[in-house]
Amino acid sequence: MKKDKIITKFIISLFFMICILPLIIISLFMFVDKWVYPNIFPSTYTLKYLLSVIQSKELPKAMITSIIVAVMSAVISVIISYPTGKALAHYNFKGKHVISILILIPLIVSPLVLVSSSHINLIKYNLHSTLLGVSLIHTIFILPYTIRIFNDRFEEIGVEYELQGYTLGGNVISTFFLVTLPLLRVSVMLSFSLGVIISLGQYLTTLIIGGGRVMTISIILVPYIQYSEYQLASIYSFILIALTIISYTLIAKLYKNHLEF
Amino acid sequence: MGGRSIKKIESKYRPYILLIPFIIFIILMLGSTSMIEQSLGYNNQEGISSITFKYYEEIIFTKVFLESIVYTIYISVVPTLISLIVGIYMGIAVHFNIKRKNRLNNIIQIPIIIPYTVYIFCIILILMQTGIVSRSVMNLNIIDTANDFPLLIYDKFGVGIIMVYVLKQVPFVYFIIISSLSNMDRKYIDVALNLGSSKIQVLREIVLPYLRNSIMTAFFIVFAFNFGSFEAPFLLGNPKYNTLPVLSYKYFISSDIDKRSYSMVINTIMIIAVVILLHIYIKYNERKNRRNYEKR
Amino acid sequence: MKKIITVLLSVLLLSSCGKEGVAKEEVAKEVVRFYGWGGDSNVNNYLDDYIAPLVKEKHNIDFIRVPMNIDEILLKLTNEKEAGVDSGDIDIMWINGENFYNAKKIGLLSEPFTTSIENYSKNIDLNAEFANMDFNTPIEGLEVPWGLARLVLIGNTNKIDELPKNSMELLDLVKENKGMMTYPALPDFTGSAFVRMIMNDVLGEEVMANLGYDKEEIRIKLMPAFDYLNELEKYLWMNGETYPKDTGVINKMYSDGQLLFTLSYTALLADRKVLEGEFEEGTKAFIFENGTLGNAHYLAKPFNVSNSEGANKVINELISFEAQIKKMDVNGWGDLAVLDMDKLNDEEKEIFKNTSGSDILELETYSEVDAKQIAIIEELWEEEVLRK
Repeated sequence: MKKDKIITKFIISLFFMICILPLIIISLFMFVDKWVYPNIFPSTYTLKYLLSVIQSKELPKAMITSIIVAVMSAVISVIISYPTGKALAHYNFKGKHVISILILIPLIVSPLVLVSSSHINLIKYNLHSTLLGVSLIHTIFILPYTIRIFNDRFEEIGVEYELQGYTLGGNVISTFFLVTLPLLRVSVMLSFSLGVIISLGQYLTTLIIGGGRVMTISIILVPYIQYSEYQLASIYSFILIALTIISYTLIAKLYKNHLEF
Repeated sequence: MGGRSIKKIESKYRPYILLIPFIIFIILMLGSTSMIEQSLGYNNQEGISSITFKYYEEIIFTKVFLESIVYTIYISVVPTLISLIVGIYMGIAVHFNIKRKNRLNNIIQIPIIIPYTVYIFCIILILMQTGIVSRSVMNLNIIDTANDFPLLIYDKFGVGIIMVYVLKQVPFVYFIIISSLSNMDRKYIDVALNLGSSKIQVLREIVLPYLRNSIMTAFFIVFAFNFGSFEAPFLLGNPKYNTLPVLSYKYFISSDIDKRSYSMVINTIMIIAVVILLHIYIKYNERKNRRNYEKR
Repeated sequence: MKKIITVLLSVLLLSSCGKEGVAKEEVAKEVVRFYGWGGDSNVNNYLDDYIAPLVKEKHNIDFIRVPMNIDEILLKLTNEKEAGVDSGDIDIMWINGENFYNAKKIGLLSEPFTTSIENYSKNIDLNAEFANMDFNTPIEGLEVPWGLARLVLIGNTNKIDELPKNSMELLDLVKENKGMMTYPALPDFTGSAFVRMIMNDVLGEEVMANLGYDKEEIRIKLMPAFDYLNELEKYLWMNGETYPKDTGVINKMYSDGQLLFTLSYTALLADRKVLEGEFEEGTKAFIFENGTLGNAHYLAKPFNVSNSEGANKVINELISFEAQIKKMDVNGWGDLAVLDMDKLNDEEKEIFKNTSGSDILELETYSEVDAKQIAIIEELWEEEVLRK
């Protein structure tokens, strides 16, 4: 028994450390000036990269844009996922298979292709190069996850709870707020956070649909990763992670304070 | 029963009403079928307007394409299996052994929060020949020069790629398992243990079947993501071994515009393959559910 | 509470329907958007910290730099063309080579405009090859040369007694130092140039100038070069089992001491990196005695340019004498100027001569092959060298 527990604890701690390692590395690299191989620690440190980023005029706008797009994408995804997940879980209907498959497509197809065809459509609706357009394209890539989350949760809950609500005299609206929503709390939170995370990490989609006018942190970050500018990449990565946590906490606070009775 | 209701609501129009947002969204975003058109040689730009299968013919039997299929399957399946096994193990281990889960769960969330591209970047910093691991090993005098350190990124086994996938997905699987387990009724386990079952039996007969749906969900999402993933193989991969998405990208941006049709061919084939796989899975699932229902 | 959220969300949604940055333009300011590769922070700094304030002061233009790779730019323009967007986001795009060829072919470029740029006829040698042809594609006034590229090898004179003067000497040196050299996998721009330079050196300019367009014929003509590259491969980094993705990676490997050489299209990169402390002292750029590859990179306007006048003004500044000299600054970007010596006055000539790097412009360059031939060469490299 004891040995079992010790092994488990060891493996968990190992896992724990692996999770934190990237954060440590990024935090370190932001200040590195010279780090000659094979030293374990950098030879010299500098603040110059950090300063150049902080002084950049682009930064505040990019940060705000990233958060706005992320929150909008998450909200739109949740709004679409809730009914879709419910339909798939609680009903049998013609075309159910088609929908199930359609949902997974964005995960598989090359983003380049999806973006190209969406781009043309969005142009027709005059949504290209807008924040809303970018949020919509991000939503495509968020839906596979969030629809799944709601679907599984609805299957778990089963249909009885809602039917009970109606039996006890509730109508659609009150049942929704008093029965379903509380049961879905975890799913909504999970979907929101996933939505935010995925949206903040999008590069190619934002670039093409946003046409270069919608500037998110990811757009600034990825070229630096591609071309081995490690210090700048670390700084922008750090900012991106911070944004994720901020957006997530924003949603969590909003939900806790305002949507629970 | 723990909510595993197979009962569905009998309603003709309701489901379709519920599906309206999704359908609107799909039409809004993807109304054009130009991808499939292009793969068949039809191209608005150049005024070519006859359907031809020549692009399919030209590419399907080339060594490059076939090798790519094998490599893609390898790079999708291996990390999926590893992530599943480790994630399930961690989920079960933590759920049953650790009392205060909150802080641990917060830490394990970190890889999910860190964006994919940032993770790739970190892996590069850790595993490259002049990276963190290499420096540690060098200082222990195990290797002499940087070039002696084994190639873990840009290598043919895709070690770096697999690591990125695993590191990002194990927490994902872990959370799916943990949230499912937290809704499980402990009654059955306690009863079984009382009646003399060993822990392993409990695991096999009660816990894993309960988790079956979550595991399948996790498998599909993780596999689909790995299959279609582009950034990691592109940034960390070996130029000789391309996954299908990377190959598609290379054709897409080729200086020879005709090559773009090859890209569409690959994409169309990928979609068809996954559609077929999913179809088989859904049919199999239905048959199993029906059998279970009838058993009762 | 619910109401507050609904209001907030709807405000958010409505405000995001408008095009980004449109409100700004309605104030009487001009905006010019520059789209191009954003992977080099020195280039980005040159544009953001020198050019942007310059055009703001001189012409009251807001210069906005958007980092986007050329293939993404072309994809965007192709989609916009198909969807019929008449007024796009891009005003100036940084382009060259095969991309220019494709853009021209599909009709993604604007009307010819070089004659409207004052500094074009003032500063640039109109008879120079790079002013009329871009990789053997006639320019016909569709793009303005912005800087000159020279493929250089970079090595450390403190570590190597004699820098190799031709491909044979390079091969010997690599044999002695197994595993210490490599080049980026094609179709990377620089890797491709390196291979073509080797071909010129091994086969001679005559052969390269008369390749034709038949893949199999070209394969036969280039065979001796592929034999050389395959021989070289045995002694390359990791035995040539893999080639790095791009020069960014190779530069890093060089500065970490993993490699003896690196490559660059930016002639002054070696000097620049030594000053920055990234490359070791003694690192110098060099080329083979028979010459190296040289070409130019350009600025063009897309077919749906919104601010054509503004773009012209900015392009004019970008090829002005001062901007070109500043661009060559080893402390900054280090990109060779496109200025015509004969057109400079005496004072300007002095400044130019004293700018480090001006001597590189006098080196021999091979003429480039066609954009279409480059695609074929890249394919053949993959078949003959990578996969053997």
